[in-house]
Amino acid sequence: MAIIPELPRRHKGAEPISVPKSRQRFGLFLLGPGALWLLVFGIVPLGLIVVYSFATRGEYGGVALKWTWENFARLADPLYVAIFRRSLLMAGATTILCIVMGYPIAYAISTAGPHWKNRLLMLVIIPFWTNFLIRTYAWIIILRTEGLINSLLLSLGIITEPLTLLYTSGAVLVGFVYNWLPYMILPIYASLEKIDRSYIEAAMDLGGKGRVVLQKVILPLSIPGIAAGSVLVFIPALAMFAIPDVLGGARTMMIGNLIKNQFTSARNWPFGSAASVVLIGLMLLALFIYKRLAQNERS
Amino acid sequence: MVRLESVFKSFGEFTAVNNVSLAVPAGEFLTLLGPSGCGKTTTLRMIAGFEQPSSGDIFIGNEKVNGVPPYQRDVNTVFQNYALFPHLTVFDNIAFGLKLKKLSQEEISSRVSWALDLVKLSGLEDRRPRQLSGGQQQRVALARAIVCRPRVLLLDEPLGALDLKLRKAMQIELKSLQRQLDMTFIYVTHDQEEALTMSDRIGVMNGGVLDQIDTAATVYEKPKTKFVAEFIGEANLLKARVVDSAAPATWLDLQGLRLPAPYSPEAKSGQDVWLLVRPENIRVLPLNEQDALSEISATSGSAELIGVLQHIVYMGATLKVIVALQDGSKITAARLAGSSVTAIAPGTPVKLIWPTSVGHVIVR
Ligand SMILES: Nc1ncnc2c1ncn2[C@@H]1O[C@H](COP(=O)(O)OP(=O)(O)O)[C@@H](O)[C@H]1O
Ligand SMILES: [Mg+2]
Repeated sequence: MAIIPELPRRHKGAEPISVPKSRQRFGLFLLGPGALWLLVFGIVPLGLIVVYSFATRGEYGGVALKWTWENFARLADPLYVAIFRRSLLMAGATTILCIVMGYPIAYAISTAGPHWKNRLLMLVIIPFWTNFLIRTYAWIIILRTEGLINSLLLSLGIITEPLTLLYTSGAVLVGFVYNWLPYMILPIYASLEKIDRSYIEAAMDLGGKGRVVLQKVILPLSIPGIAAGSVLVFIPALAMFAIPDVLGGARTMMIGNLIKNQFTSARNWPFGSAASVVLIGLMLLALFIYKRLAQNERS
Repeated sequence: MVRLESVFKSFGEFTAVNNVSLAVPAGEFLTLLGPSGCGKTTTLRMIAGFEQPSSGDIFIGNEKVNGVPPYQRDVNTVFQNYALFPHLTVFDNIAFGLKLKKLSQEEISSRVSWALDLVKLSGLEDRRPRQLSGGQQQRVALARAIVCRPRVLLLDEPLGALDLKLRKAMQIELKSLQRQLDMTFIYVTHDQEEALTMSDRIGVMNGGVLDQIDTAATVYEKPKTKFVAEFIGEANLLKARVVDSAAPATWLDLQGLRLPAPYSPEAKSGQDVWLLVRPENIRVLPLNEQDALSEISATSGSAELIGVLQHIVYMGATLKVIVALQDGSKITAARLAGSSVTAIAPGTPVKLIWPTSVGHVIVR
């Protein structure tokens, strides 16, 4: 699955490189440790989840191997459907906001002088130097009742009563967009960087002013970057539980929180597994759509 | 139609275009010729508006266009790498400029099909650029530029990426297209043969300087600089000194030999010059008994040198005859295959002879 936009495309008609047998075996050998890791810590747990999702909860919270569809049927309950719908909406809104905010930033960086480019890119990456949870907790200080925003608005006299900002869907959305914006900016930037200047010059040569060039040439040519960024934002946002835990209230429960609760406090592993399986299904669907889009772009 | 007046372009310390002045009349096919890095592309980009001259003026029509952005200039460019929009079909690529001119749908379709017809690509409207061969892409790039009917078409090595056969065919096609459209072409190439084939006039550039701008024949026969003489065609350049210069002949001293050349007003007595003689003008004859090796025999009607035949290279239609002069320098003569020169054995003394009028004096 190619989600990093600058993967080299093999030239049309290029012969596949033929590799001698001994080299092939050496290649497999190099692959070994990674493959083993994936098998033990990736495939096996995934298999277990699938198996558990058809099992029954044991009397003391264990897993009883009594096969049933019950876990999946229970997910159809309006309560859980609402959680799934909320998660999809939240991840979708996050993706769209990241595109809307990230594109201009990526564009500005790509048009900055070489001197500025690296500094601006550095600024985009700086948040990663701090732990993700600390960054998220920092938002509490900004959003809480006696937080930065409220005290600023109060002192300016714009409001008389502090606003309820924290523990709302809005707070969760702010946390999401804040957390994933760089994942949108970087692939868009990479695809903008790749656009040959001569396309822009050709458009100007044919009578296109700045806005036309942006709309008709730059934007369409950077769609692969937008698509890659969307995958990088949407999929993890769909599964996120920590940000809703910290910034959201009881009514902002998302799939991630549901699964986490089932595996911890509720001790219902089979139900949690079933929710995970559905979540994985949704992610695969998103990847499938991305792939179809990318293919259309190429043919 | 296009006029450059003392145009300079510097990138930092480096002067890419150095005091270029030229005027291109409407309907002319002008080629800027020169080796890679001599400033041809930069000159073209200044006319297109992608670069601004550091000093000097550029006129298109009668309008001074310094500072006018590319999208407001009535010129179009065929880019070296074609720069076809990869996300658009052939039709949309060609229609790009027309749509921006806000023409009606029918007008756009009819002009696009006119252009496709002109470049013989009808039927490929719906293809994407990457589904086309290099030659087809080149034609689309051409169609996209001419469909706007600019006053001047700029072409930057448009055939550079094509194979030899296709390139030759396209040269002829481009030339006839230019005549048919009666459009002003400014064409950039480093290929002298291409320049000779297509151009009404050739401007030869060297290190940012426009050495000479003249018809193909003049540039070839009467080059102004040693660089031009050597860059276009094969050249024998003989180091000489002017002995006496008065119409109708300039007399030169070449290693103690007196040689006539056509009168050159710039050549003053005592000046160091190059004498240019093209290989195809030199005849190689066996030395008669009465000609001694050291003897000078020259009239004002023809010039003669004596040397030793080194070897003959078979070139297909022609033979390349290499003769060493007394001081060791070499002269190349080109003779038709089957010429009597083949009867002369290498190592034999020979006489080189050419009509005075084909010689050309270049001031050093
Ligand atoms: N944007 C630029 N910045 C710095 N140097 C440049 C730039 N554009 C061209 N040059 C330099 O100017 C010289 C002429 O370039 P160019 O006009 O492209 O030559 P040509 O087309 O004749 O090969 C080259 O030495 C090139 O390196
Ligand atoms: Mg060039």
